[in-house]
Amino acid sequence: MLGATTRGVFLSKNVSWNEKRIASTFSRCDDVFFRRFEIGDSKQRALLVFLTNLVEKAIIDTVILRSLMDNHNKRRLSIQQIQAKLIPSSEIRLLETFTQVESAIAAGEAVLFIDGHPQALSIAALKWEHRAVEKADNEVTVRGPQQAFSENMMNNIALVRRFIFDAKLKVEKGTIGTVTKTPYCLVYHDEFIDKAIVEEVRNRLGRLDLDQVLDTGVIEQLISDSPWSPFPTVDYTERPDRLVSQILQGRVAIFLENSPQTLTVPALFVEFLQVPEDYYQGGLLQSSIRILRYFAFLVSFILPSLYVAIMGYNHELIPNTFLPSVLEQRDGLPVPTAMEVIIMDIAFEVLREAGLRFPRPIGQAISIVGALVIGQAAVQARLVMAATVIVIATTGICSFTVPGYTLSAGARLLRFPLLIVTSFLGLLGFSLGLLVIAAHFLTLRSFGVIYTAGLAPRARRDLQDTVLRGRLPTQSRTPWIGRKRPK
Amino acid sequence: MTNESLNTITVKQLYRLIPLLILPTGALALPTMVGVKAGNGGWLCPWLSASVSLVVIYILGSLDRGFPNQTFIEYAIELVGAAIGRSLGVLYSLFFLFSGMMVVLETSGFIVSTVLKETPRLIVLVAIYGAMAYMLSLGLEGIARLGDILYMFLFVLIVTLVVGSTKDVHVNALFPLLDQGWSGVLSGSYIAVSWFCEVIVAAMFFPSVKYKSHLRTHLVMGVLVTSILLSAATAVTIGVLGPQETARNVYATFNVVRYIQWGEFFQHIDAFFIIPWISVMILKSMMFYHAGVMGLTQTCGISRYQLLIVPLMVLSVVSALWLFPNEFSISEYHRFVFPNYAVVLEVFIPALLWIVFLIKSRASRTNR
Repeated sequence: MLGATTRGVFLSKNVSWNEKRIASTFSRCDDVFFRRFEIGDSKQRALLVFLTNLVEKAIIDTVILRSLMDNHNKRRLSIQQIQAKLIPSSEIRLLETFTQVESAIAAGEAVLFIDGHPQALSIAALKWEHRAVEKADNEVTVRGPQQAFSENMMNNIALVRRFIFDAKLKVEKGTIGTVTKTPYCLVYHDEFIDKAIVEEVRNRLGRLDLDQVLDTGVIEQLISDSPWSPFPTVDYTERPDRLVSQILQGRVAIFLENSPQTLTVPALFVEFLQVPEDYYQGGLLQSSIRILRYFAFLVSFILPSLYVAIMGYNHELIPNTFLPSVLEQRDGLPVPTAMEVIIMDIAFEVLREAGLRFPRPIGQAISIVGALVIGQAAVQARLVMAATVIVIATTGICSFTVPGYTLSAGARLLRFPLLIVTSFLGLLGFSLGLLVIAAHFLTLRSFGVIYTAGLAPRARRDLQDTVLRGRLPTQSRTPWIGRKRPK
Repeated sequence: MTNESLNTITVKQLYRLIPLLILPTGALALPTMVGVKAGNGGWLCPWLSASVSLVVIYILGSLDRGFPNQTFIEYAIELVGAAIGRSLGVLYSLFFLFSGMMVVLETSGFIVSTVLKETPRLIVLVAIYGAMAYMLSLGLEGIARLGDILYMFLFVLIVTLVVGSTKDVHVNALFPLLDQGWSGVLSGSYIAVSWFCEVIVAAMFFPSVKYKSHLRTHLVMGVLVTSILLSAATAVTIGVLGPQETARNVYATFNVVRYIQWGEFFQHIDAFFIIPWISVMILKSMMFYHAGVMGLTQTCGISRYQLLIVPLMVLSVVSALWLFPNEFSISEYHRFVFPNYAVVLEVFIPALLWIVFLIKSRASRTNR
């Protein structure tokens, strides 16, 4: 801290003075404990400070207190000697300032002061309750590993280390949030990463001026290139196997304490339509399913608008075979098609949002209510066309087919402006809306990388990994983010 | 792939932009005009005009070799001095902007007569210019990448048009060949030259091309592809409708699309023609507007071209409504005004600049 006097910043040789200072910082923190004792036969006074709910009692008792109190050496030892010889703990650090001591205590370490030495030792003693490694609920696959990340950052990184047994997997630690001081880690593979991207990630995280960070979602919005774009440029995952494959393709992973979702940057469009299972199952099957997913993604935001454009404006475009049925349905309905589609779409979105919050027992009943009331009853009461209900339902199902939740949410967002423009201007509005969306989509960049990389430009080599699922990669295949391709 | 600077395009993207420059309004309007002039020899006209544009490509390519990082207007200023050069700059910028406006007017005319029959033109123009304002701010990269996708659509569209209409083509309408002699074909080609030599717009994009290997080859390929597509479309249109009917129809090609029917299901595919067609026409006008905006910023020394976009859009809406109050004035302009002065700007002035360039480079060589 600039301008602080030496006396205020650095530890004092006097243990009692240090104790008073720390007690005043941690005043009214009744879970902190001050253990005063003497080091064995040398009668050196010592003080151990720790947070009772964060430390492992066994470590405090056996590793620190017993080994120090049982010392039969009558000489007074320096703190370096105590660190080197007396304390059998695997992680010990030497601290010199009050800031460091306060951070260490708050992080669950036990801090040892020795009378007569202006330094302290911080000994790792952390033990806290956390969720065990469970099954991935939000990213479900049929085949492959089923583990998911939990809230403990170090355990999550351990899960990743179990996939890559290599020193080239780098883990860079930092803290974020001036009040919460939440630890985060950048994880990347040295061989596949583009150094410029890591530098950019460090810069963007360093520029954040936040009090608190509760989840990686906050970081995602703040470091994203285009936070207001419906297309996400930062991806997240809670599956270690998916994360590992992304790290091996030149991404940087951002882990945050207390967050089971890990961010990966840069994120490209094709990633949101890929699933790890694509590589665990056969190529022909998964290629077809991938093409299906791309088609479903397009349908999920185009179909209602196309329907309105054709039904509302150009009836002659309906094929002759459908015409009698459509005309019969259209007869005598109170609201124009565009209005119908918008109302039904909003009703569907309300249902979807409500379904997230219902307590489990009622969920089943609500889905029946939704289907009956909105679907069946509205059609039979001749308030809406049956075709409209079918279109909205198809759109909804197609949006669930998209694996990346943020991308399908973006498509949901896009649906409404496109629908409104089409309602006003028919096919012209539809074309203009699509053009504007396409222009925006094609010029997006994620940390300097073109968002549509892999699809366009120079796609021929990459198509086998984006839209199709070609041969499984052999050793000679280099990922196309980290390394520059030869021209 | 990482950190490529914005607003660079590849030679292949430039090659795809050529058909997108010429075909949108060409395929709609050309059959009508050559039907009037050339009768059933209309499908020969694109080939004759293409040969003129090949000459222009050669000229522009040589000029570009002499001034690799400068646009057409920038090296014009260098070649003929600031006074004439800047006047040329203003002239060309206005030409590009005006032509872009004409494309938008044609688009809106097409839309109002086929899709939105009761919408006032103002609304259509405001919608189109509003969308274009956003897309122009994305720069040349946006245009080129949209062009990649729309080129595919355009290609598929015209191939579908040609293939789908084969069963309706009356081969007798195309023969006897040249019963009106070459004069009709030549005057038809004269009109088509103004379309084909719009490659000069691409000359404004040359400095943005990253690796200029085989620049001229790609441009020539673009023109060839355009000629093939355009002459096929014209031939099919004349074959289906006959030369007189083609001349009477304002949007002859679109009417041919309406006829396409394979079985019970594949019919009435006009919507799938209209949507890409509107997109492609708007892309063409975006290219003109981009060239015009770049020309203005280079002539006047403005730093950021984004500043010009919104005012130009507003001005264009107003000008469009005021200068061309009805459909007749637009088609009159296209038939009588545009071909004549476009040839000067697209062929003669670049040729003169090229002659100046040759003289100067020969002079500097003898001076060494």
